[in-house]
Amino acid sequence: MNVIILLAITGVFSMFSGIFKQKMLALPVILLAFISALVLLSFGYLGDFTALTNNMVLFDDHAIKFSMVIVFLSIFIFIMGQYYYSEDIEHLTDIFALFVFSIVGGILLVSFQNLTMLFLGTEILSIPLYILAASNRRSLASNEAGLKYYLMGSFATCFLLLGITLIYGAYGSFDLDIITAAITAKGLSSLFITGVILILCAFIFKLSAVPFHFWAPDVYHGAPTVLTAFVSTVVKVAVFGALLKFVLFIGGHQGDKWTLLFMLVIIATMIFGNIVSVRQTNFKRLLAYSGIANVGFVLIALLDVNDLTASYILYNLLAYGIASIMAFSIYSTIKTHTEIDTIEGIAGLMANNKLLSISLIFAMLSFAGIPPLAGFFGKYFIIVNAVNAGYVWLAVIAVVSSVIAAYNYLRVSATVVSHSSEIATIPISTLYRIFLVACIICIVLLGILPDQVLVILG
Amino acid sequence: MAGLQDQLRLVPLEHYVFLCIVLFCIGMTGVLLRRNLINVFLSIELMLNSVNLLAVAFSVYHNDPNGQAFVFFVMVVAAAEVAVGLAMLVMIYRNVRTVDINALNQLKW
Repeated sequence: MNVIILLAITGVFSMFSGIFKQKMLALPVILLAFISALVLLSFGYLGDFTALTNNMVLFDDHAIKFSMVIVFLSIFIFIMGQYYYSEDIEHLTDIFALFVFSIVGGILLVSFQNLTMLFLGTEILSIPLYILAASNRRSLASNEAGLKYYLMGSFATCFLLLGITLIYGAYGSFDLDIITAAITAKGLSSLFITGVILILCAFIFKLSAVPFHFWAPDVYHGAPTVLTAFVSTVVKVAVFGALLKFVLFIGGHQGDKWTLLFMLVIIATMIFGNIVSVRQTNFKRLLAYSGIANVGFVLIALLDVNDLTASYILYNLLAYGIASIMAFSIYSTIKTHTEIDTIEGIAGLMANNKLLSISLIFAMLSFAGIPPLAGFFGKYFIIVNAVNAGYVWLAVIAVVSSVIAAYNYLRVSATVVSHSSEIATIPISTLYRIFLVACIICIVLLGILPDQVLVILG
Repeated sequence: MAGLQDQLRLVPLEHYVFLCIVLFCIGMTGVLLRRNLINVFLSIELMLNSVNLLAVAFSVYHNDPNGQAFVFFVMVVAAAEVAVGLAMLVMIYRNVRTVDINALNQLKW
């Protein structure tokens, strides 16, 4: 709860620093606030706000772990944002403030204990994102991305709301504990089942899993690249945090009613995401589809929820997130300096841009799941968990689809080192060099020390 | 207050639920079929408000004020959402001089 207050104040500060012409202050203060938030979370200085929050927000272990990953990935996003927005744009501080508000929404979302907070968290997370997607006002692509995101997001919100209201109608409360008690007393009602299905649909929408994925590639393509990186990493962590909590909540009352629904979504998402990405020529779209495929992969972990599920999900999202932020930032660097955005276009990047190419190859190999890197263990834990739970054929599909995915990523790596053409040297700043090296170190460390990371996350 | 609740209870709960689902479906059809952005926004509002009506009806039948408090949250959020949506509409109108949804076809797979 301390963290929410700290970050909300930081967001307001960032807005005011723009009004008072102190633009330079915004980013250092935000980074400082996020690092202190990370410290507060990891040492558990969260304050006792139970009397104030009326059991609507619960900062248990689950919420702390997910918040830690959200805050950690956000730090990378802000450093990338500093580089992305380096030309002097007019509303820089407002853009950063919107990111901060969205992160506050994400933290509220993972700590919900009341269905009202589920709704509010989703909206506080989403509304800044609609604005940010459209924030490149003169670009038609950005306008379109913003509008599509807005329409699809509000549409999904309506389903979420209807689901919440139906659950309220069934048991007369929004509180998860009271609903659980009422279910044990009165049994499952059909209103509750309908409500749960509607809420799950809204979650699938937010996660951009098949069948509600169609907005995602367009939005990812048209929106500013920082926002794309943010949506495909931090937002996914927050939504998965809420979804895991929700699955735990319904899990006690259903047996395996929802398993079939989940399995269909998972298979469709993995196969669709990977097969469609094979025929992509645009690099940003390739990353978008790889994000969709990864969502399908992480959803497998939700089929068999046990004590370690949260740490598996977080490990995968962390590994995927860091590699993804790095790949998106390299894409935007190349795009800004050379106007290249296709995969063929980056052929021969290696000749004059060693650091950029090596980082890109590291990201791609991590996506592909080459063993010493983080991406491998992210997939490994989830597959082993699925096999142990008896979903062998699902694990087979997962492995096959990740082989297809590996083809994609290796295709990019091969293009980067090919000698068919050359790209002139792209000037990059020292801060950006440090950022890339830090990302590579994180990917390698996560891959070398998976057990230790799991202990921290578990 | 009790008199009002009794009057609201004259209509059976099923009728409220039926009305709200019908309104919700009308809104959903509007979002899916309409091509004018303002109509699409109106349809989304219709969906949100049908949910509000449902929450109030349940609240009366459960004798529980939480449902009505929830409606206020929904109203505030809906207002924020529409503010963003209309701002986006104005921005798009400035760029393409139309509010037709088909004018936006830059992004395709």
